[in-house]
Amino acid sequence: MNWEIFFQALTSGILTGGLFALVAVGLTMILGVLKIINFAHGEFLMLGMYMTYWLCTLFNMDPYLTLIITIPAFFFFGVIIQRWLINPILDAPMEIQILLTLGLFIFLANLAQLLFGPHVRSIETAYTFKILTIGSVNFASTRLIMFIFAIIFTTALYIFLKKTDLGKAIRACSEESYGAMLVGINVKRVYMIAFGIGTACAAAAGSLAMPIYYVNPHIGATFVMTAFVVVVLGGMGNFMGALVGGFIIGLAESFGAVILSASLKQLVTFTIFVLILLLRPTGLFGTKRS
Amino acid sequence: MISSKELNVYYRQVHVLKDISFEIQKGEICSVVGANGAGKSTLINSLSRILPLKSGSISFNGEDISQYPPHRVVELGLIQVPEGRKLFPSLTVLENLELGAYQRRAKEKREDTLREVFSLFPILDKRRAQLAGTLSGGEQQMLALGRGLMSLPRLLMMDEPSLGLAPLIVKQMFNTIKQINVSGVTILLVEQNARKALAISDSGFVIENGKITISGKGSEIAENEHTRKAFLGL
Repeated sequence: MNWEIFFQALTSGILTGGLFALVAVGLTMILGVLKIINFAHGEFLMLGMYMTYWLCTLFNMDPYLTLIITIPAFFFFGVIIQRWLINPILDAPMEIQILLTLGLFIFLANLAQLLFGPHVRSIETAYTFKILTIGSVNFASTRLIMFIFAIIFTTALYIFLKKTDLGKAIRACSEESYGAMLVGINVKRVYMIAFGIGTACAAAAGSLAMPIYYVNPHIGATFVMTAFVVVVLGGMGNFMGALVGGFIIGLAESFGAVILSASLKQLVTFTIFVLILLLRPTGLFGTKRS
Repeated sequence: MISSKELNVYYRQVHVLKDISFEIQKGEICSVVGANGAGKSTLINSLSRILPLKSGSISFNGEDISQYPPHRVVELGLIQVPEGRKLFPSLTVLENLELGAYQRRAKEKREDTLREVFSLFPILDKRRAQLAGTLSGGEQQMLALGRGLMSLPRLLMMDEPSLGLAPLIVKQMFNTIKQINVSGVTILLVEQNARKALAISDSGFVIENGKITISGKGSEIAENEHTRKAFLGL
């Protein structure tokens, strides 16, 4: 591998890593606060892609402008799912919760297939094929925009969690929900907000991915598997872990594609996944839960 | 201040509290004495409205709170400092205290209350940027109490505040409880250390197998033949 290819792979890995990080941050938020493994996370991303697709196709909107619709729409979608589907089974055994989110995953994928058909769809904008060049490295402008937005969203979420009362309440609930109840936090309401934020992260990632990837009703599964690897790698429920993990997996995939072959890039991802589970099941940033 | 009428509470399938009726006057320190598993913590959690009531009612400041969710009870000033502290370990000391004043009434006076808590526990001021999980046991108990005070309690319920603390710290803890009481907060105290608790209490009652068997002034209970044998080791 020469330097040219190295920097190309590095750039591509970092840009994709930003997207993985955004998806994983949403997933880890739901996992950390609600202790729920959300298999439907990738479907929120898929639906976010479709929403952007239809807004662009029907109303000629700019794909990035659709974010101002997808983010609030999916926040409320998440709140509703939490309120009516997940809150009622919060005290149920883990396998029931897994079955619920798994069921939601199958339902949403098939609903999308019913509504939009199995076709692969994509959008084209004036800048879809615009290639930027820095030195010897080439990348699509859409990838850079995706990366910038993803970083803005994760940073904003981080500041929200660190600095605002509601953000602190979310962190409090994720650590010690009983203590949170005793200081007067409406825990179920915080759960709704957390699930809403997680859902919005996935949908925002979908909107950002739409100008680059094709969408079909089953694309969610690909993303959610990668997101799970990132979340496990970063230490389940750990925000910074998901962020860093996103970049690690982004780089692993892009270097994997160069060193092995493009079709084998996921092999690298899942090899990392298995190794982490075997050697350091708490993840890179995780702490043991008592 | 607070009273209950014929409270019956189940924990899972077990009938823990049986026909509990009691009343605490404003400004008092009231101790609940009883063996492990008698239902003391269940009583506190019922008053905090965390556990559902099978029957009976709870009235706080003349308001029927039997059907309120826990966060509304906190807003009214009925605050619990739980057994085992239930702090937020990876949040800082300051963040833990700030969250104590999460409800609107307390939030409006957050800065003032924070100053008071820091003057009561200067060590917390020194450790404000430290993660709560890294504090010593005594400091954690102070933080738990400080977090409770941040909620501007009208009635403060403390579940085993001296558990696991060194004797010297326990003494300080009881002094602090008296100090808080003098500042106008009514206190409900659940303690293994019944002798020390009764010594600072105006009133108290004994729970045995989920029932109140004796109630009266703190000194009366401390002198009662049965309590002396069963709980005070005399």
